[in-house]
Amino acid sequence: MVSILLVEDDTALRKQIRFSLESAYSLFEAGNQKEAIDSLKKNKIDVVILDLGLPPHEDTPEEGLKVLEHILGKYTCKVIILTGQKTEGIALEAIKSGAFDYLLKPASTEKILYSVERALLFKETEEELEKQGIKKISLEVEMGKGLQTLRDEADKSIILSVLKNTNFNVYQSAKILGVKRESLYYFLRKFGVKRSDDD
Amino acid sequence: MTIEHIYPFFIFAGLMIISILIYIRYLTRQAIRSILEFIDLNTKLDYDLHRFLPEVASLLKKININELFYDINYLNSSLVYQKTLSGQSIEKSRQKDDYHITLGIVPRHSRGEQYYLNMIALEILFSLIEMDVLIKIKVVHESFYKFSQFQTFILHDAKNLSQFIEFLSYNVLHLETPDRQDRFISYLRETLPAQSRRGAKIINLLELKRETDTEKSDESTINLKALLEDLANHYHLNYTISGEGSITAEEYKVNAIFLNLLKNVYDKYLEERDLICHINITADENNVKVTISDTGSPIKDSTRLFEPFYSTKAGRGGLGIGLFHAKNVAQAMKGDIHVPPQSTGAAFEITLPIHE
Repeated sequence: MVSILLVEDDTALRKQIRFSLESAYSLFEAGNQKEAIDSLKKNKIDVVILDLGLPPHEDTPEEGLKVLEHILGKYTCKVIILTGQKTEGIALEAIKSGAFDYLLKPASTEKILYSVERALLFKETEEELEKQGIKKISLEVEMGKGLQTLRDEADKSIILSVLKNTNFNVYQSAKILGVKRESLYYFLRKFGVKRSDDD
Repeated sequence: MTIEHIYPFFIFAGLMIISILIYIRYLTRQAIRSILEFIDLNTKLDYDLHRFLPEVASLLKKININELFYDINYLNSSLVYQKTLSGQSIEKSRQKDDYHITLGIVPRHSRGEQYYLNMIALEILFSLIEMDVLIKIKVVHESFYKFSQFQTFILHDAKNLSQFIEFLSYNVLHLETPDRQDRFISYLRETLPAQSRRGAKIINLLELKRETDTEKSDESTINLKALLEDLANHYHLNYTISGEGSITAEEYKVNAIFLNLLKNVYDKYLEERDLICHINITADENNVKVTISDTGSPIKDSTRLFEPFYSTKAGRGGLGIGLFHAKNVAQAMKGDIHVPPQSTGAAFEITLPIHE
């Protein structure tokens, strides 16, 4: 079963996030940096939902960024940052350094759940691609273009890699990506991707 | 000519010197009095240049200065009075990043001693005005800084609260099975004390003021051992607790004191993992004394510990009002918080009356 680690110092909020996810995933919880690091060591985690404002410095991203740095240095799990720290600079820096998504509190539950699904999809696809010898896809997006651009670029990057790998076979690509063929066509239209001889 | 013939000359010269000295004394007194009047007026008008400048202009007439003109800009505020009288004027100007001051006077004349009087008046007035401007700039900058710190502090809790409500409203619609319903209720029950504490913390902060003992409501008997155990468990502290004690007081006040003190221990514990907290409660017929000590590092600066907006975590998330607030509330309850000297670790002694 897919495992998710919730790193959130507010226990009441943590339990509610847990409740919304626990019927589909296996959940682990941490309330501070130490507990998060311990849990990562003990369990095989696929996705981390990470609050940046952790004690003893709840009002700065300091503690959360330490956890992010630790995860990115040691694990392959995807990190979704869910925080009240409204600093676009931190958001872009976090995503550029490897965080999967950056959601500002209060975010809608649907958005958070969707982000978890996307993170898992990306993780599975990356693992699949890695098995086939393709290294982790890196983002090449200029700073300052905003979070939406980053998300779109991430989607585009992974879809293009899969398509390339399947020699532009939409049926196979959709299967690897775990999406319907119609959805893949939608993304192709959205990103203006056309098959060319170069591809 | 005999010596007697020279006497009148000496007498006349003496009288002249005495007259000049008396005149200089008069002028000096006049100048000093005027300067003191400027300073007094500035204080009386709360260092408000918008009120001070028109009034000081009339005082200047007493020392033969006919007009005061100025062009002052600071914090998007502008004060301008153009020179209307003809004649010689003296001006002084200063341009800085945050402000600009040009000040000028039109004296009746600038001969002899009046020249020095004019210069002294201009210099003193300029210094007073610059001081007022700098005070305003400093106060405004500091207020904004404190406000933004305060806002950040409140926002962390407020955003969590609204995110909690967001999840709660989603989860309420997803109670498909009886098992899910039971778990939902058990999560709520489990986290309700923490949530209500968070709510109380926000309200406490928003109502932060110099506590007074004027109004009392909702007093109840509080078992301090149970309360402290509950808070220590909330913060997952390694702790020991001994003794018993109860007080009759408003629960939110007692909560505010111990929540802030134990949060302080918790923050330290996160950086010093082997820290153990010892809580001891003793009581006599009038007071309850709670000692909260820990085995961690000693207090860095005990003299500034209760100073508002002073934090050893400054710039790293500490607002520095927790202990200030705790002491304020304790004192308003006719109790107090002391920091006894320790050879190792840190300790707080909280004394509270059994009946507030």
